[in-house]
Amino acid sequence: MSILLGRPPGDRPPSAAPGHTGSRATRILGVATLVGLVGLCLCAFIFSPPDSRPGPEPGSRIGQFDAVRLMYVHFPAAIWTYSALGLCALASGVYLWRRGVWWDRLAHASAEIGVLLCAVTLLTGMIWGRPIWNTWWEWGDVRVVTTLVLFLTYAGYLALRSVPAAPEARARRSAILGVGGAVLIPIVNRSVEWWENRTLHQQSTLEELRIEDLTLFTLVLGIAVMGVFFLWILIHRFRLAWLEAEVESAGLEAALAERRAEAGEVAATGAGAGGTGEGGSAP
Amino acid sequence: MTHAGYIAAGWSISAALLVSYAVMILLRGRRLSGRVPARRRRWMTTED
Repeated sequence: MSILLGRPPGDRPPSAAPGHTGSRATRILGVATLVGLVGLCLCAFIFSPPDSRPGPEPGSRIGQFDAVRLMYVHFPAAIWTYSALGLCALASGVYLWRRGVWWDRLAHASAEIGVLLCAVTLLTGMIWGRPIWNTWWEWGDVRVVTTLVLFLTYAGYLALRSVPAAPEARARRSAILGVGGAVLIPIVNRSVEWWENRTLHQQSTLEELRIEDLTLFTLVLGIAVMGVFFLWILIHRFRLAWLEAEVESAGLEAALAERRAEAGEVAATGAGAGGTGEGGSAP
Repeated sequence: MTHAGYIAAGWSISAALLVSYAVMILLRGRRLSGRVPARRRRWMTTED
């Protein structure tokens, strides 16, 4: 927990605190993301070969050719979509159990990042599908459609969070959706095995190691780089959610204080008016 | 390189989405930090 929120206030004067959501941990993760991204670009565009295998006819070649380089974004984005939305479901479940606001904010932060990564997965999948499957979108493909349903479910989760409500009610109802939506994650992930005749997607090549060494290395590097980026942005987003809640509660407290002050003025006026005997019977 | 346009579009759109989101989060964090007392921002007390 301390990596997300930092240590409790110590002896350090608050005036020395910088006005942003960064810390030493996020700076290390940010630099690691940039370094990893450079390595990923080198592997993806220079070192790794195009996907090409001998075809059924003599002299012919089949495969994804250079379009495989899109997989170095698409596949890690899909993996971290599952992870982010799974984390949202886990944090939502713990919130329903323990009712801690920490878990509600973690669920919110991870859901927002998960929806973003799911959008990246869908877009890169569409762009990859055009040259390889000769279509931007295939409604008959169960993996594509279930991924879209997953995206819409958690986009709905974010929409639900933006509906004005008491913080506890909003956290409770969004946590229920956060937990329920997680049912889709294994369905999306396993859809190509469960409905193998209703998909253009190939079955898992990573689990069976049916791909070349450098391609596999670049895929794993992509997953690692996307993972470091995910952690970096998750910490920033969690802290932003914390700030939003602080501002919201400060606004509520200010409004309550204003109401109390108004009520005090009215009572004082009423007492004063009653004391002089003018209008003491007014409603 | 085959499919160069698709590869450029895929990487560019992904980078644009992720970088835009990250910049939005960082800027919003800076803006809201000014409205919350420093003692309520626990991570600000970590060693830099």
